[in-house]
Amino acid sequence: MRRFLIRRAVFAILTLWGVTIAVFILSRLGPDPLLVYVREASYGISPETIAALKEKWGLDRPLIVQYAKWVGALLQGDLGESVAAQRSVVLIISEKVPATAQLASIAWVIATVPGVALGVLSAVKRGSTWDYTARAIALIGQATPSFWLALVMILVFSVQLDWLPSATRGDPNDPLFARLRHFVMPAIVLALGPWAVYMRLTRSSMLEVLDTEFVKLARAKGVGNTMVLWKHALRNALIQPLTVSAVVLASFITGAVFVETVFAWPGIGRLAVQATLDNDFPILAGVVLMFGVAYLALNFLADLAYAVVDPRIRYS
Amino acid sequence: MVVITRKSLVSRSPLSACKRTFDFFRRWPVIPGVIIGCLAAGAIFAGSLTPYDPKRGDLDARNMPPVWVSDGEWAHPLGTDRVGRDMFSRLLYGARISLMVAGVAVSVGTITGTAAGLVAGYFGGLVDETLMRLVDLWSALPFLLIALILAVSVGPSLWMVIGLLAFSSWSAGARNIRGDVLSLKTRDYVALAKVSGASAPRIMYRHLLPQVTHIAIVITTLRIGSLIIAEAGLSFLGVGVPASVPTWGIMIAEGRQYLLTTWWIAILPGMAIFATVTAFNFLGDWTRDRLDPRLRQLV
Repeated sequence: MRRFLIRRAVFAILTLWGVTIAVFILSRLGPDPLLVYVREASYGISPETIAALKEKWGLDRPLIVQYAKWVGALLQGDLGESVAAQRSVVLIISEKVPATAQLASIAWVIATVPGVALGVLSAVKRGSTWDYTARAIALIGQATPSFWLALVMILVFSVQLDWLPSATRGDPNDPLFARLRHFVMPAIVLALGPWAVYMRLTRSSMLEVLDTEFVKLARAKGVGNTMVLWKHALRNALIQPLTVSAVVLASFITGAVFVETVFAWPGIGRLAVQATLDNDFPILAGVVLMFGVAYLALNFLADLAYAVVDPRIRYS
Repeated sequence: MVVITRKSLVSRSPLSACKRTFDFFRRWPVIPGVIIGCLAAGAIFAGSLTPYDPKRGDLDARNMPPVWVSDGEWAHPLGTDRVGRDMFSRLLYGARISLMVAGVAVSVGTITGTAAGLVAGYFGGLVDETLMRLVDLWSALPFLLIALILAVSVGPSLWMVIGLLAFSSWSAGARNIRGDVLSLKTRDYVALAKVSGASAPRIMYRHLLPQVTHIAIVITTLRIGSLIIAEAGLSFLGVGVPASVPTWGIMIAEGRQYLLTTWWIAILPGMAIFATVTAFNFLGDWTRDRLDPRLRQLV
């Protein structure tokens, strides 16, 4: 276990290092490095100002020095200052994290619990109406662009039926129920794709497990159906969906960019889009690095979760 | 004595005819094939299928609804947008971009991924370790956010989108193909080829590649749908193909503000995406079940 943890930590550090290199190279690919800080660089800006700005962000130095300075600051937890807001990036990101985290955790619950449950149901009652309905929803979930689905839902549930609010997180002083209403549509849109993944994977691995000898033996011994399904079969069938959990959670960060844009949700995703429009590189880089850290952490948790679900897996 | 004829054995009732048709459609991907075929034809011959220029507006024909809504006219069967551009023409030209971007990206991605998988699996050791760690690193890179950075530093362009999507789609193929090559390379025929003096590139190309082509095909067809959605998403955010080019994602973004009045501008392109992606997903599922059901556990 200890060796596994060390290996994991080393890999995580190397990966993050790789991410910083990727981000740096990408940001310097353009014709003018000033573009990642200023919109329309050289347009109506005097050469003196340009030189001063380049000096301010260290863009007049050799690339390797720029990179070293940037990573040096990162190591001290300094992500720099936002160009547009003139405030610390760490502060801005930390203000936006709760909104995205709340949305993503609710979406994760919506995706996993019904996803796994319907996957089981669909496998057990193969060929039934349940099976076909669940598979049809999964099909829609995988083929619909989330930003478009969000628009359709707004059109139906906010405009036509007037049941749910169409944007923002609501007033923090509102009662809990009123605030929860704001979560309904964004969370469902964010959850639909991952839900489909969980449902399909649970269904196919459940079908496989139900066909194995040990399930047949359990039935032959006279173990009750409920026990066979939930204890013998599901526990083994869960391994597949678990392997993708980190990928699914990571997909929430991508999904959040679209969902937050459409529903005007004040989170990380919208921050990233706004930073793109403002050519605010420090913020964008901060969001990408935060994503990298979150992804690695989630991956690690998923690995640990395996060992709990499947005692055969021993990390050595 | 009862004479059993062939005819009496095979029942010809209308109900079984229905069932046969149903089974036929279940067995062969006819509907997805037709959808994709029509779309490809529409994309290729868009210029001769519609008299309108997808970029040129007609201010006398602004905000016209589709033909099935009251006030709709056959001159513009799917209506027009805020500046009077014909929706049907824009959808056709949008299909051109979507299919081209997804097609080129998936081909480049598959070729790279297959090559990487073959090399990693065949040589093993340090090469394998390096390539596989690279695959792991790849999955930790958020491609949407990378697109945002590129949009800022380089500016949005068609080739940037294609390159980015190609880059994002080599790793799944590499991982799966490597796994198969690991076991394939221990077979006798590979050893025999080695003994008879075949070079490593030749063994990979002539002896191993044909054994893993089916994996590449399945992953390619399963991947196209998600690439079409990804391209539309980038366009929607304004960081993909430049806004002057008609694409489905840009049309949805443009129609978004006018959802209350001219809903069709945003809704129709979304339906086009849905139909296309569903068709490709069905085709992908079908090829997978035919060629290699083991790949069912792919995400």
